Amino acid sequence: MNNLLDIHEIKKNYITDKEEIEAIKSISFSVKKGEIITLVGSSGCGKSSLLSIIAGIDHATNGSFQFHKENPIIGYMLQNDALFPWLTIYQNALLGLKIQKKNTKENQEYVKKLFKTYNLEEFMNKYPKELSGGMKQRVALIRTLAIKPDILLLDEPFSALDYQSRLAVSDDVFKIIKREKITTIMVSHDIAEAISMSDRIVVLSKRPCYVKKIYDIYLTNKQNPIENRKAKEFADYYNKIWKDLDIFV
Amino acid sequence: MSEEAKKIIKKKKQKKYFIIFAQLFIVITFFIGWEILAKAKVINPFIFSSPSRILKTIYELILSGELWIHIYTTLYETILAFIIGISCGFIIAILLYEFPTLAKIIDPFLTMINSLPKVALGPIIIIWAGANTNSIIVMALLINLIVSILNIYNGFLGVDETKIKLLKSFGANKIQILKHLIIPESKRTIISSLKINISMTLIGVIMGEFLVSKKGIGYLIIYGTQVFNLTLVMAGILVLIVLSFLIYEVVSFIEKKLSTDR
Repeated sequence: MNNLLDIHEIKKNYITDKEEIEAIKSISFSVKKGEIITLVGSSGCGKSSLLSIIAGIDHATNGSFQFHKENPIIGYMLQNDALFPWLTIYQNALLGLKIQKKNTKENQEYVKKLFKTYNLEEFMNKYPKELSGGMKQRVALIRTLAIKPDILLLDEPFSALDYQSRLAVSDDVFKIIKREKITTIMVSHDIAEAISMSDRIVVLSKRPCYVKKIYDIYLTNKQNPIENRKAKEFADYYNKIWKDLDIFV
Repeated sequence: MSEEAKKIIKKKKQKKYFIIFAQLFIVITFFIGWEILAKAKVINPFIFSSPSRILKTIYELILSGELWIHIYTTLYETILAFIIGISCGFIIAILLYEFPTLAKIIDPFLTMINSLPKVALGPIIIIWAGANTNSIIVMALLINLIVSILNIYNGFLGVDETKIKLLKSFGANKIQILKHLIIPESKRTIISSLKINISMTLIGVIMGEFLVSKKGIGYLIIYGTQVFNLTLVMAGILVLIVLSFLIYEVVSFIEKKLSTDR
């Protein structure tokens, strides 16, 4: 697999009124085309900051990252669905296209197709409040996919859902990503979710974070996130990552 | 529907009617009591007037056509100051939101002006803006503008950061963020500030009319005081109560129509 993205010694410091806080010490890793890579680390370790930097919303204090593609399109999915309540879910899905001035008939058809593929066609004219949490998250994904991203950044996209919806939606999202063959960087603090969805896992240290370890995930009979949890290697990965994270309760 | 549910709904309705009845009872008792006390000379009708005298004065003002002129003047000034206040408040709030340093610089000045009793500026306003409608509009603006700015600006600040981040991830510029998110998301705050603003504007207009005017309900009240015609003063106050209630209801209606937010 070719690399789509190389991240080289990214460093991030935040400057407050009184002090300078080091959020990311140094992070380097590569992202291969078509893979799902998950950044795992404790809360507040700097995982989301890294995604913001890659998405171009924030700047790194030092270091660089390079896409091996000209003008890559980046899709960013956030912790909550961030759907606009005054728009229908179809209008919500077109938001990115409108901002990027790509709201063409052809793209609208593509969005409609996405709704159809993900069984949300009959809800297209509903408003977000009329949908369940899981459905809203799927709409958020359609909104991200609408701009046809080269890379997908998922910032704890299931954290706002209850456990059952979380499993179901992560399963759906996994299938969608694999079907569309989109390179994905996901941030999660849920080890099980990370193992069940990823091709590789980057374990980050506590703040200021650095890469502690990178795991290639090999699961026997790799299928979908729910089934993957039953793989015999699952518990072993879980224990190793748990140890790496050095979590004290 | 179950019997239990029917009982609860019936109880709720009864409570609602009881509240309306109690409100009407208070108003009617107040006016009847006032009338009786004035007729029996328990209270001095020259100072306290009486409902019948007030109604007679209002009737005479209607017959002479004078009342409509005063209502029209106050309404015109209120609507004008209200529109200017909301429009300027909206534009200034956008500027403050887009330029946070500017917001920080003028924050203490806004607080200072907001806490200042505006009537103290009355004499200066008359000299600067002239002894005419301009002074009344300026007085009303002094009262409603700061409230508008602060309400709308705080609405902007309350917008969900995640949504801003989302739009930025799509590459949205400041104007797109404003158009697609900040303004629609703050719609509710802006609409609810209309109610506060209309009340503030009316206060400003009446204060302005007290200081400088030849027409308007404020003028009617101050003129009544000057000639010691307290019945006229109270007639003015009664008209003002009805007028402010009607204006408030109209704004509430507009608010309901506009806030069909999903």
